[in-house]
This record gives sequence, C-alpha cells and structure tokens, in this order.
Amino acid sequence: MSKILSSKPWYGPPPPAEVTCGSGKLLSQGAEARIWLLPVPLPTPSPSTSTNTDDTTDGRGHVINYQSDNKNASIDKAMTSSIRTLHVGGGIHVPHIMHFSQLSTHLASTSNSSSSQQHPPSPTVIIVKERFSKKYRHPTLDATLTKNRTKGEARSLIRCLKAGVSCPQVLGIAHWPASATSINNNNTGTTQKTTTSSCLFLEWIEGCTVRQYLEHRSSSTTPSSLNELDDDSSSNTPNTKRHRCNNDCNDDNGDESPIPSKQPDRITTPIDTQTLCVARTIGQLVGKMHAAGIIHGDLTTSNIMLKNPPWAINSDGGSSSSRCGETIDGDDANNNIPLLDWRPQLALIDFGLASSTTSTTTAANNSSNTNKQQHNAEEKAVDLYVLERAFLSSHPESERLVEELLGGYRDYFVSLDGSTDVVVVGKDDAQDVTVTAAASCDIGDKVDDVTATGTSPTTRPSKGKHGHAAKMILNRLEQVRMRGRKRECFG
Amino acid sequence: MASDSHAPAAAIRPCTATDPPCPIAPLHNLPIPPPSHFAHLYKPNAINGKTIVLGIEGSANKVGVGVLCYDPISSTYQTLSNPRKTYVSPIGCGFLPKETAWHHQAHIVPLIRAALNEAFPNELNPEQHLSAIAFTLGPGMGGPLKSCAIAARSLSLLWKIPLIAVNHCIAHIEMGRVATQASDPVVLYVSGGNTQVIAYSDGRYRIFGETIDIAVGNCLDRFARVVGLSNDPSPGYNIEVMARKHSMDKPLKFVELPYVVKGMDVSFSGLLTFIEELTRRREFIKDDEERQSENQFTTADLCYSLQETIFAMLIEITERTMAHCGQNSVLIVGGVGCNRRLQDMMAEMVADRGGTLCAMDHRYCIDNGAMIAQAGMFGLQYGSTEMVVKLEDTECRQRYRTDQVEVVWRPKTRGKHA
Repeated sequence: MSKILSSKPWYGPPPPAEVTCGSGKLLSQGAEARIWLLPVPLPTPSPSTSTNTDDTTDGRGHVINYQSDNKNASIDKAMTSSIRTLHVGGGIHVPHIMHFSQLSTHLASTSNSSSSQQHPPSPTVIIVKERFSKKYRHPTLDATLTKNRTKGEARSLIRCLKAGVSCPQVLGIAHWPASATSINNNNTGTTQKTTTSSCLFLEWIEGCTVRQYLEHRSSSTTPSSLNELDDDSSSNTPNTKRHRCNNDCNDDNGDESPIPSKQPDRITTPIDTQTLCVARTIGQLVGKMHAAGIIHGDLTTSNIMLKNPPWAINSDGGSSSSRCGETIDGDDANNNIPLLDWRPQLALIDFGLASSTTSTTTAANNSSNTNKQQHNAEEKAVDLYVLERAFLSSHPESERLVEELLGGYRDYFVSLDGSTDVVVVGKDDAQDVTVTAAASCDIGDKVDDVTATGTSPTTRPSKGKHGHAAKMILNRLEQVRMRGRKRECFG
Repeated sequence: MASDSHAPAAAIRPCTATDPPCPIAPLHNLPIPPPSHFAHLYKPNAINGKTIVLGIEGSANKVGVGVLCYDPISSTYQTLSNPRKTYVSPIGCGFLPKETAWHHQAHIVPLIRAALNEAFPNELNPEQHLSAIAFTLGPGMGGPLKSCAIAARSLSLLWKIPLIAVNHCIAHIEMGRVATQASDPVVLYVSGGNTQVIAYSDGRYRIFGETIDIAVGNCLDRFARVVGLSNDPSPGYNIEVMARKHSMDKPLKFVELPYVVKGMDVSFSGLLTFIEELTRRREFIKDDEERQSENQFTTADLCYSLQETIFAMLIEITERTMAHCGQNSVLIVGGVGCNRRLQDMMAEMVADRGGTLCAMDHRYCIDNGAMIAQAGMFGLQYGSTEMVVKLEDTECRQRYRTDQVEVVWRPKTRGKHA
C-alpha cells in the first residue's frame, strides 16, 4: 500500500489529520477527491466509551493539534452526546460526524443494530471520500461547492439504497478543516486560511470491479496464458490488486489505467454464460437505478463492483470472509467452467457525478409532461451510452455483453409492469437481482439460446408504462449513438 | 472563432512580425516535415527552398492576413507579417453577421496588400513567393467566413496556387503549440464562440469537455452589453478591468451565481440569465459611492463574481481532463485566454498538480492570419487530403467541430480515450 501512496501524484491541501494519522491509506487521487481506506478502531462491545475516546486522542498527537481552536469543549461534548444528523436535501438526513472518535462509536452502534444483515457484523474498514478545497477558487464558492457536492453524493447514494439499488452504505458525513498541523509547520508567518475538506464515509465493498473481473477472465482464457498457466496466474494477482486500488471509486481516472494498454491486443473478452449473466445483471441494476430516477453520470466497468468474484467462492467457499486482492487466487480463477450456483452480486460505486430526475413511475403518471419525459429519456440514454462506450473501449469485442446488458435493462422495466414474479418492492435488493439473473442464466445454458433472447432488446414488444419508458430510453440511445454523447453545436 | 477577444490595447503592436522564428526541433510530436513527398501539391520557393503560406482569417469580428515562412535549413517557422483589423460594435450591441461581413469585405484587400508588402518589402510581385493560400473554412459566422473565402478563392485562381481549408480551432492549437513549444498539452480553447477542452488522441483533437450552450466569451460579452460596458477594445477586457478593482484592502463583494459543471461539460446560459436578472434588482447600483446598505452590489462586484465563477468552472473541467488523460501541461488559446485572472487561476491549479502552463501569446490567443497559415502549412507539408482542397470544395462550414479534422501531422498514438 505504501508503494501505491508514493507512486501516485500528490496534490491538493493536506488531508485531515484523522485520515492520515498512521492508519489511512490513499487508494486513489482524483482531480477533486481522494479516496482513503481507513481502519476504524471499534470500541469493545461493553460501553466503555470514555476510555476508548481517551485512547484515540492520546494515541495521536495530530488530533489534539487539529482541534486546537476554541471548539475543544464543544467537541468533547459532541463526543459524549449522540450523533447529530445533517440534512443533505430531499428530506434525507445523514449522520454528521463532528469528530473522528464519534465515527467509531457510531459504527459500533450501527453494526450492532444491523447485524442481521448480510454485511460483516463489524465494519472495521471504511472508505473515506475526501473532497479537498481548491486554492484557485474563491473561498466562498469553494466552500459551497465542496459541501454541496458531498451532500449531493450522499443524497444520491441514499436514494439508491432506498430504491434497493445496491451501493455502498453512507456511514456519515463530515466537514473537517484540513490538517492544521502541517500548515503551521510550513509557514507560520503568512496568514493561511484553514481550508475545509468534506468527507463522506462509505461502506467498504469487498470484491473486485467488473473491469477487473472481465480482464481476469480474458487473461485466463487466452491460449497464450493457458500455456504458461502457473506463471501467468501468479503474475496476475498483483496486477489485479493494484488495478483495483487505482480505479476504485475513482472520479476521473476510471478508464485510464496503464495496465490494460500493456496487455497484448489479441486478448478478447470472453463471451460465455458467466460473463453474459454478469452483463445482464448489470443491466438490471442500472435499470433499477434509472427506474428510481437516479442518473449515475459516470457508469464504467470500473465503477461497478462484483461483490462475489467466482474465484473467491472457489477458494474458500464463501464470499463474505474474502477480502479483495488477498484471495484472488489465480489457479482457481483459471477454472473456465461456470459455477453452477454462482450468481453475481453487484454494487454501483462513485456517485460523484450523479443527479436525480423524476422516477419513471411519476413521469409516466402525468403523461402531459412529455417534454420532461423526453429530457429524462435523454439523460438516461446518455448514461447508458457512457456505459456502452466504457465497455467497448476497455473490453475489446464485448458487443455481445452490451446487448445482453441492454436486454437486462429492458427486462427490468418490463418486469415492473404487472408481473409480480420477479421484483417485489422493498426486501433485499441483492436478492431481487440474483433471482432475475438466475432466470436468465437458466435460459442461457447454451450461448446460442441467450443470443436468441437478447439480441434485439429494442424490438421486442413491450407493454405498460414502464415498458414504454424503457422503449423510449432505448430508442433515445439509438439517437445518442448516432450523434455521440455531445450534440453537434455551433462553433 | 475568438469573436470578442480580450485584447489589451498594448498587445496589438504596430509592427506585426517582430516575433522570433519558432524552431520546431524541440517538439518531439512535430517531426520535421517530409521533404518532397507532396511535390505535386505545392512548390517551395524556387530561390531558397522556403515554403511560404498566406493565411486569411475572418470567422468572427476580426479579419487578419498572415504570411508564414518555413525555412528548411534552420527548420523554423517564422511569421513574416500578421496585420489585423477588428470590427468594434457600438455600446450595447453585438457584432451582427451582415455588418461584420461588410467590414471584412472593406478591409481584406488592403490587408493582403499590407501583409505582402511587409513580408516582401520592395518587391513588385510578392505573390510569386507564395506556395499556397490558407483560409478559414469554419467554424464561425457565415457572412464573414464567406467574405474571406471569396478573397482566398480569387487569389488562388489569380496566382494559380493551391487552397488550404483550415479549421479555426485547429489553427489556434497549432499556433499555440509552435509558439510555446508545448508538445502535447491539454488545450483550453475559450473564445466568443467556443469553449472546449481538447486533448490529442489517436490522430484527432478530441473534445473532452465543452459548453453545452453558449460560449464563455459570449456570456461575458452579453453581460457587458447589459451593464453598458464598452466594446472597445473588447467587452471582456473591460470586464477584467472592472474586476481588477478587487484588492485585499478593498475586496469586492462576491455574489453567488449558479455554478453549472456537468461532468466534463459546462453551461453558461442559465448563469447569464441569472446575472441579467440581478441587474434588474433594486439592490443593483452602478457605482460604489451610492452604496447604502450591505446587500447592494455594483457593476464591479458583478464583474468580479462573474469572472470568479465562470473561470472556476473552466479550470475545473480542464483539471478533470488533465486527470483523465494523465497530462500535466496546459495551453490556453482563444480570446478569453488573454484574461489575466484566468491565467492566474490556471497557473495555480497547474502548479498544484506539478505541471506547466504555457505562456500566453497574442499570436494564438487572438484571431489572426498567421495561425491559419500555420495550420495550413502543416496540412500542406504533410499532404492532408482533407485540407488541401479543390476550389469546388471550399464551401464554408459554420459548424465544423475540432474533432472532425484528421490531424495527419501528429503521430498516431494508440487511443487513450475517445
């Protein structure tokens, strides 16, 4: 990890002391935000909060420096009192983390309450997405933007979670001053404004990105690599591991990784039941998100996580205890035969560019508002187009996967009309997706069968308002394909 | 199409050819032109083997003629002359296509004469040195474009030399690259008609981010019109002067304006409407002396806030493109690129990323003929079939995107991203 830290270009103001105090590890650095992996020391189950907070503050001198303003008393008070929430718009409230030690107690409480869920009972590792301030901006503008964007991302994530789209849980939000210690060390003479970084605390999703999955599959199915099986599999592991670290939750470098370009050109994306099933599930997941009226804005294969990569299951029989990178086992992954009971569990990440529109349900209800409907279709079509481009540009010969994906997308909308067999409102989202995926995979035991069902997602008859909406979006996608993402404009 | 450049009056020099020759050797993306592959296309100068191109620009309110010379011995490009005329519209009014076209028609012939006289003093037939004529095919306003294209076509027939059709945006970029010797920068092209963030990839200049409605210069110009700032030398320059009243001791008020960045794209029309609404409010006052209460704001306040907001948007999309492409040098071209505040903000951002900002230069910031000649020269030397056109194919294109031109003079790299 330290290797990654040094190889990444570093810029922006120093991060909050909390994140850097020995434990936070930089996963990626974007133009606007940094992603940290932060282990959170959970307090022991017995409520001995006072000793715990003492420990954390004593252990790290930075923190004392950091809160060296006159807010000391209030922070102490805040630590002992219950956590307040911050309104992020749309009637959504998010835990407002005033101080680092609050986070651990808060996490402990949430993990206790939601221990029945499939998540591991104690999330000791979390993701911190830190939006740092920009020197070039006017300070007022900068503060507003940083705060509002973090809030907006939290809002989109929570909307997604409410709609049953699987994505990282929002654990909290914070507006922390960037570490005052290092600024003081640099130059005490000049009056340096303390800048605010807004942090979003997110659940750490285990697994790998879909991009990694596809690349791993393609590298393990090429004849050249099969010849030198052992060497290839062993060299694969660090590659994929680093790749994930480069791309995870990344704002801007999503597709921009040096690793795929180094691979020989003849590597093609494998088309088989397993990858088709993954593609279809992606389509359903995106469909679910769009049906809830959320536009992701940056859909790429690097921004979709596969929670249960097949090799993880092969190696230790369950995905829950596996950790990314550590259990990516080349030998097992080279196993080409699709696992019979394996269903992909996906999650969307990086909602930094997300926006929300009216959901298809409400849009379809007031049909007089056709203009707005058109606009929605355009935005969703562009979202799909971005995903399609991401597929085709980073995974050669993956046209079949895109077709399957769009088929899954359309089927999700159609399934919203009337038929109650697939999607039940509420419940566990991952379950829903896997059920439909299972259905599709059963059909597609032979690849040809899947081709027959999935080739023409736009031409199949659709009924009901959701089916109509999907048809509209997919028709719009045709138009977007013709002209590209941007319309041809003057000058 | 830098319609309303922020040309400080001082930058327009009386003599137009004082810039030193630009060597091309340090540009590793710009190999020395192939010797004579394209002998059928053009003839180098019979006397000294130089290639000389006349460029005619007139896509917006400026009409310019430049003479550019390539010297094969030193392998340098040199601007021999570069005169220009600007149509300045009255206060409160933009430049209309018809009137701008008239202006260009009136000035194009004297400008060509002046350019040739300056490039080849005391010669009776200076046209005999020319290898080709480059002109702006687009993008831009139809009337002005056509006026200049007619001049180019006539001269091509008269002098029997080939025509080169040049994309205006490409011309800005190429002149900027040659003048600053930046091999592969991210280009922020900001002018009255264009707002684009461009990076080269696989044979084309790809547009990574752009405005989805009006251009940044257009936004500034129209705001200047609303508050009654002069168009001389350019509205944007006058806005900049107003905004410069801001200082540490007497800070101007920052009025919050809509900040619209959508991914890599920006939008200015809503912002413009918003700020126009602000000028109709009661709190809006012309002068600071009239200020009675805290929530009032002056023209200078609005100028300052407008600049801060829209430039922050531009820097942000540029930074995103830099992160996306993994490049760390930035070139600002186009009329708005003359703005000091924009340059300062960009320099700050680029410094943070450990990159370089290419210095500003009037040769590529403001529309001129030499930059058309520069891009035309590349097209000629590398035999771009797209650019070296027949007379029949010289129909002007008002909409002509930067990524429509195949850049044959740069090496084909495997695409970073389309």
